[in-house]
Amino acid sequence: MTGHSSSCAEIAEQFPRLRAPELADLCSELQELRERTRSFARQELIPRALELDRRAGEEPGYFDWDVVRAGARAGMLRFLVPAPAGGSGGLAMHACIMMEELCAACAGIGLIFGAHGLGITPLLLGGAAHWDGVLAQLVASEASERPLLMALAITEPEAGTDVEDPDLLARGRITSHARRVPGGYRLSGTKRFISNGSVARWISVVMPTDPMRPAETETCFLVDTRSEGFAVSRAEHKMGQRACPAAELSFDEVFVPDELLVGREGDGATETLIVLACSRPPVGAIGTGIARGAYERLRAWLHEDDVGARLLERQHVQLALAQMEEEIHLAHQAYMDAAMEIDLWALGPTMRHPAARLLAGLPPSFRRRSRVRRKLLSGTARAQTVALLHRTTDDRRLSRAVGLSSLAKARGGDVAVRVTSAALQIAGLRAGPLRAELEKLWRDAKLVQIYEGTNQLNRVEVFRTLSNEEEMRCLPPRESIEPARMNGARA
Amino acid sequence: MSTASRAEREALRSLARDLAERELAPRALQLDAQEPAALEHCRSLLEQAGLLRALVSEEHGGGGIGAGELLEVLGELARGEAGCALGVLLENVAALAAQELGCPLQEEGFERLAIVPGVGEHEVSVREDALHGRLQGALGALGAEQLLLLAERPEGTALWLLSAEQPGVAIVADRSQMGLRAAPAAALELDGAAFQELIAPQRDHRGVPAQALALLRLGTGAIARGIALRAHELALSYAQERWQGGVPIIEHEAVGDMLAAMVVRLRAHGRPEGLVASGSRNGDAPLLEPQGALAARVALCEDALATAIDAVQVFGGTGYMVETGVEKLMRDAQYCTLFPEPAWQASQELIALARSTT
Ligand SMILES: Cc1cc2nc3c(=O)[nH]c(=O)nc-3n(C[C@H](O)[C@H](O)[C@H](O)COP(=O)(O)OP(=O)(O)OC[C@H]3O[C@@H](n4cnc5c(N)ncnc54)[C@H](O)[C@@H]3O)c2cc1C
Repeated sequence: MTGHSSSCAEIAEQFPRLRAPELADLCSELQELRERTRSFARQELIPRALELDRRAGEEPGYFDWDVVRAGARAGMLRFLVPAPAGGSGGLAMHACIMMEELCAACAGIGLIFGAHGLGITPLLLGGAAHWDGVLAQLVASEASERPLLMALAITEPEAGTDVEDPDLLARGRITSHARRVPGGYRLSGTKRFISNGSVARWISVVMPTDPMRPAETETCFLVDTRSEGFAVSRAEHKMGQRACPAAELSFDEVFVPDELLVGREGDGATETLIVLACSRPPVGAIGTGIARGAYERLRAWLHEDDVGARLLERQHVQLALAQMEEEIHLAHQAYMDAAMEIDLWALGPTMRHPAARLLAGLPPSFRRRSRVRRKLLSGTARAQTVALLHRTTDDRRLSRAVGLSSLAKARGGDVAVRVTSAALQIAGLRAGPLRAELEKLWRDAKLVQIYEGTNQLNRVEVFRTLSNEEEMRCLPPRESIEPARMNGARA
Repeated sequence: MSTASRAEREALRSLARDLAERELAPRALQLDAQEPAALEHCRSLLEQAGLLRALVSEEHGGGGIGAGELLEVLGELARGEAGCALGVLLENVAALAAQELGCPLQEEGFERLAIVPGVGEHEVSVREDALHGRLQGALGALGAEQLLLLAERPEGTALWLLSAEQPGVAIVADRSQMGLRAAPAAALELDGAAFQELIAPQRDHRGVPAQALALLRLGTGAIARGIALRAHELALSYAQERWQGGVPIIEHEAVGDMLAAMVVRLRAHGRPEGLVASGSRNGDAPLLEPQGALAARVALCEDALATAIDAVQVFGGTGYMVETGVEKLMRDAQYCTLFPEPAWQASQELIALARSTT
């Protein structure tokens, strides 16, 4: 195994302001997380990977709850849940390390946990509003037969790339609509390609309240998939990463109460931008993991198999291995850079701010009192969360994070495709069981160039934020588009 | 050039195109899923059209066409379904070699042939006049009645004939085959299998084994080109229908660049049939120059893979879904880069050939 560890020196060099004890804690926490996830992946993912891939290939939508239960026992469902809600309180670095390790074993199963984390991410930006609701439920469900899974639904049939960027969104054909009604909203429309969409209990759904002005009115909602009007309209038959089902979801006047609004109405486009900035480094890590999985399997075969051993004597093969090592190393560095930028610089100060710590210090029993809970869900609290974001970070820092994240994502995707393809070339058709594994990894790899924004879109973001040093409007506006609405907190 | 007239060539091409469009392409998903009914239906159509023995001379019950025409046919068929095209290639190369080496092609038991290239000594060895060993990933071998093995030995390449039904031979379906699935692959398990050496190991570039291998390579190149053409067609049409950012995606240069690169690749490498030397005639052995065949196969297959990967990218998430048929092109193209040998090994052989001719 190539153990890419996140070195303390690396972090310290970039972030001298992080105090030494904190730094040491962080490094050992990350190292421990890597080892724990690796051993979980070896025990639970590798033995299942090929069979699950085959089964889901024959029966799209097939899902293995056993692996979710095993993941829940290993803490894979709570990794992003904030500590006050009973979770591990990880952010981008934690997510990246987990994803690399899981996906080196099986990217399909890894994606189940990744898409779950993606569904949670918008809630992290909503302050304490959801700690004692859905997030606490998620943690409590870990020991149950059916642990609660989450998903994020932004993509629509007519708008894929367009929903990933606020400027494109303004020109996009958005057909979904969240209509305001007394006490909440009614959601209608179709979302497409939603990972975990058919198995999630809760889905963070982004829809505009005015489809003619999506950029200004996109809003994030937390949807209970048991709600009337919600349906899984189709299970997708995918090329790879099959253990994680992707689904088309249809919303027919699905009611969402005000309290399940995530953030404020109209902040959906900027929230999406920040969510994607947080989720793209882990996607880069998925690509890195897939590449590493191929590299390690190939290397083991070259050392252990007679045919392989003969190949290893060829300089072509030696150089190809060296190049894979290089590519994987650089992809790893790229996602760690981006994740550190987010955790320690772009969003870290918000999470570590005294106001946030104060809130986190309140006993859950106190927070759950109905009066306190109403307050936490009120428009004022939501506005305060936005104000805190404005005090602790800014568009410049967030834009840089967007750029580095997109860079890591695009690089991870390309490296995954190149390394898996090169490994397959070396092994050839005669490699038997190894070939089947490499073929799966190669099929899995292609998706990394597509989801979380295609590599083309991500490179456009790299140009804008890094090459052109543009400041994107990442933060939600200080003023909500409808400040009066939530102040009454009609929960 | 073959002596077939222009009109004959065109008729053959349009027959293949018609078959590909009407019969193969609409069944591509079923063929990919290896549904027996679809496999049988397409095979029998190809057989009725005389394409499975097209290279064999008329006197031996074949179509008597030249290698150039076969390559054109393969390109057309591959635009519809590449696995079927590979099946046609394998049967033709096997049948032509068998005919040239005096096998009773028209007798019972010789209806389904397959040729397996690259049988190395470390995989299959000869002990006490029988074959032992295991050979995995033999494309098109499942269902064949007779197998011709192109055996790579230190003294050169030999051709061995085996019957699939004989004792000591087990043909095990390869369930994990990723690409070109309409030519179902198998693992050959040989445990004391008697065999007939049709031709002893030899290095003659004009000999039957070398020519068979060269035709397999060029044929794979032709199939890869068919895949690339299809991928480009699909991507070009989708890029004009799909709108993002308020315009058809073809107007985004990121997409335009991918489409342009596809055209460059398709135009940069000529049609593989251009590499068939003028000495080939109807019904006679085609004459293929091994170095050209190798180079064309490497370039065409790598190009096809790059084009198919980009085609999926042009389709975005839609391209990743099985029913659109675009991701299948990617899997098929990847298999072309691996057959008859991985592209890097083909490149290395090119160097060996270049050294031997200087
Ligand atoms: C298996 C899978 C799982 C997914 N999971 C989720 C999920 O959990 N949640 C979710 O919300 N979404 C999910 N997605 C959706 C994914 O994020 C989109 O597929 C992706 O953003 C691309 O959108 P699209 O597929 O509509 O492609 P399109 O946007 O139609 O793009 C087609 C082509 O046009 C190019 N293009 C489009 N616009 C531009 C532009 N402005 N500039 C340059 N090039 C452009 C693209 O790069 C691409 O090459 C998933 C997708 C897949 C395939």
